[in-house]
Amino acid sequence: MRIESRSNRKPATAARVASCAALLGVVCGLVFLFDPAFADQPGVGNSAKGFNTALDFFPPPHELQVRSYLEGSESEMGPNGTIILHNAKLQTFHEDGTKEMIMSAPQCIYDYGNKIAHSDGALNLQTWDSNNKRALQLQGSNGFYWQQTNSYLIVSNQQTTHITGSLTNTFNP
Amino acid sequence: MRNLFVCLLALTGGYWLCAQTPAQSSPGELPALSGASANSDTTILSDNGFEGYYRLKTYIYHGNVRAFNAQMKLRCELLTVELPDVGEGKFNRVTAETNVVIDWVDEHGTNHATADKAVYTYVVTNLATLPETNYQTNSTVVLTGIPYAHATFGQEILDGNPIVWDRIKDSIYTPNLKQTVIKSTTNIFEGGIGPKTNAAPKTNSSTK
Repeated sequence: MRIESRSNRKPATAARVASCAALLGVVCGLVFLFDPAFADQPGVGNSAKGFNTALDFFPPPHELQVRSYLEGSESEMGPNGTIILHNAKLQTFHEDGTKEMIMSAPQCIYDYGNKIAHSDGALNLQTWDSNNKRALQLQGSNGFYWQQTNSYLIVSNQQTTHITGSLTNTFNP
Repeated sequence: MRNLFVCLLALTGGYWLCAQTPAQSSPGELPALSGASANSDTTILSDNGFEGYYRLKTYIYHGNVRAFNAQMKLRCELLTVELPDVGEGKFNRVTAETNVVIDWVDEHGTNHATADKAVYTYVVTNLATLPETNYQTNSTVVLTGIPYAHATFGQEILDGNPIVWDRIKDSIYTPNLKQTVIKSTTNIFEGGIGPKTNAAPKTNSSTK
């Protein structure tokens, strides 16, 4: 009796799995159709108010500490997996959680795949070096390019850097 | 409305006072450097952009670079600033290249120097064997490539290659001296006050 009942159960389980797979397929299809993240070109109505996300974290043992954080007052999907941010603000932190740099721009494009932020507009950047009691403020108006992986920044054309504090690092043996 | 105006005035005044307060120099800072750096802000302008390697703490300025603060003015075409934390085997270096012009003020007055390349190095070296420590600090500016330095102290013009400015000793020298010209802006001999030659002064004949 038990053997028979088991053999009877098999087709019922298979049917359940098949129906679940079909439902999942429909859901995925709907997400693909309507989610702007999968769209190749920006469409009408794909902008959103407010955007903030942690871009990366420090390696262990500081894996819970955010290394860079990106936010914007408004965002819209751009081509090839990019996101266009208005009033963008990028912050980077030291391992102890203190601020390293704040970069702000009226508009910038962030490329998730290549981890690059760039713009052809203005940039305002501030950095702090608490160990050496130095603050740096940089202003550019003709575009910038920031590479997240190695913290590399290019500012195009005219720029002004204002340094407050010691120009050389102090040495405390 | 009047209260609002008074508040705005107070805020602006407060901000201005804060902005005028000089930064405090750190206790480990060299006296020779403190006057040139900690007491004033520095501004760097460039026309062809900026590159910053933040992990390496290296910053590069391109094209018609102008750096100035209350003590110093510098012009060049390329300025590279390397600022890693100073320690064992690590030093700070600032390199100015192509058409370098430096004007700086010290206790003697205004100094002027030109060169193809100027390298400022700040390095701390342990002269003893660990665990003992005997740190020596070197802070020098080396001018190379047809350098020329006009130091106000003694109105001296140095012509040699390279020209070294030791900021710890506050002295300028060149190991390969071509010539030294000593000028005086106010020639006290022009007015006939003193002798125009090195000949011995005439003795008074009445004393014979």
